Amino acid sequence: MKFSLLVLAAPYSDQSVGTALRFAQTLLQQGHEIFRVFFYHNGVYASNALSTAPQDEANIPRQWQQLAQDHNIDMVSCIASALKRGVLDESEAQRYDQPCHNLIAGFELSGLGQLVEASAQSDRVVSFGA
Amino acid sequence: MSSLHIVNKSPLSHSCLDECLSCCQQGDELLLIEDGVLALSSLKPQQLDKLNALGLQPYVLAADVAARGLSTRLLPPFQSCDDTGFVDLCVKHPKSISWF
Repeated sequence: MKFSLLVLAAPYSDQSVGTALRFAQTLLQQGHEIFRVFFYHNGVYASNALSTAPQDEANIPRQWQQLAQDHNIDMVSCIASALKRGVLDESEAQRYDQPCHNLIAGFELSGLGQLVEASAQSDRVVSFGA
Repeated sequence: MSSLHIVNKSPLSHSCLDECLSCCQQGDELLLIEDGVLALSSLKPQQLDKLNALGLQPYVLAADVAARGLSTRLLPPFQSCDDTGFVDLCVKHPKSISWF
C-alpha cells in the first residue's frame, strides 16, 4: 500500500518526529511504500543540515536523510514554513540575498500542492502533529 | 467508511480525547500514542462510557506505555499495539485522523 506522511512537529521538541520515523521504518519493513514525506510548520526543522546533535544522540535530520536515500523517498519541506524558519536551499538563498543555504541534501522545498498531490496519489496519509 | 483516530496528547492537559470521542462513529478505532497513553491512568468514567457506547476499541502504543511506566495499568478495554500493529491499523481503516 502507498503511504504519505505529514510531519508537523519539530525535532528535539516534540516526540512526534520520532514516532513518524519509526512508523516510516516499520511500514517499509512490512513491504509498504512511501510516496512522499511532507514537512510542514515546525516540522521543516528536520530539513536543517546545520542541526548538530551530540555524538551519543540521534541526529534526526540525518536519520530522515538516510531513510530517503535507502528507500528513494521524496522528502519535501513546505517552502513558506522553511523560509520563515531559516531553512533555505541554494536558489532561495540567492533570491533573498542570504549569505548561505542549509537545506539538507535529499530534501526539496516546495509548496502545499505537493501535499495535495501526495494525498491524491497515496492510499493513506498519516499526520504526525506537534 | 471507518476511521482510525490517533490521539497523542494527554487527557489531563488537552481536550483532544474528548473532542475525538465526540466525533467517533461505530466501526472506528482509537489509537493512543505518546502522551495520549496517559489515559491509561486518567480515563474518566464518562469517557469510558462513551467508548463502550460506541463499541470503540482503544489501542495504546506499546513503546509509549513502557516509556511512561504504565504497563501495569494496561487493562481492558485497552489493548497494546506495537509499531507493526500501528501500520496494520492504518491499512485496515481507509482514513486516519490525528488529534493533537
